[in-house]
Amino acid sequence: MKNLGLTIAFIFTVGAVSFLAFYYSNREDHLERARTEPVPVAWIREEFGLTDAQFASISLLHETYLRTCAEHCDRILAARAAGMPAAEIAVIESECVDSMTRHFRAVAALMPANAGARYLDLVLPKIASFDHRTAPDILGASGQ
Amino acid sequence: MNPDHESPEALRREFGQWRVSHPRDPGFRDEVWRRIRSGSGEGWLAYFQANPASIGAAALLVVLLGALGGTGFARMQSQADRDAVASAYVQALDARWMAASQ
Repeated sequence: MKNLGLTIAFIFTVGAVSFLAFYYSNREDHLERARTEPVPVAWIREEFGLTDAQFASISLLHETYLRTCAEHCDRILAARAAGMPAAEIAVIESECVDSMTRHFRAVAALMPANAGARYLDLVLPKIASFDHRTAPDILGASGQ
Repeated sequence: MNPDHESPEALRREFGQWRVSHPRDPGFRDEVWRRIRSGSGEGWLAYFQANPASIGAAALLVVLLGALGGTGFARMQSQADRDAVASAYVQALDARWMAASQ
């Protein structure tokens, strides 16, 4: 009976070691690191297998677009403060969405073809998933 | 009842003449040792050596299950991380999110 118990413990240990070994060898560490970054950009490099030159170009594009994004944000806030109708604010937001989509396509164009397509598949649906009702709650919950 | 067995002397004589004639088992000694080896007294290694096929098959099965489970769980978690990172990346560049948070 004691040997049966030891055998079960041995087999359980073998299974646990196997599980952990395969778990850690299949984890993508760059994603886990990226989750802790306030504005994750570096993950793109590993995720899409970019060269230094490609990543440098994308980083430059990213920095430039951040200024454009801030301008859009200011326009939306100003429109709200001025009490502009919702339809007009929606037009500004629509311009923001178009600008963002163009930016993502420009980033994808700097990547190898397959990686660019995968990048667009990943980010474009996120633009459409914006919801005015949940945005402040989500940002508040994430501490941003 | 047999009257011969009524006296203790007759009974003693009867038992004195009684012989058990059981055929010898040539594997008896080996069987005893096998049972001793597989018993708790000889330790787990001996038990393992006495049952290598079944323990090996069970170990192989859990290695396969562990591999499948570990790989599947890692992929599932990576996919969730990828989704969260992509969302954070898009939100950082989305003026609507920036305006909503102010």
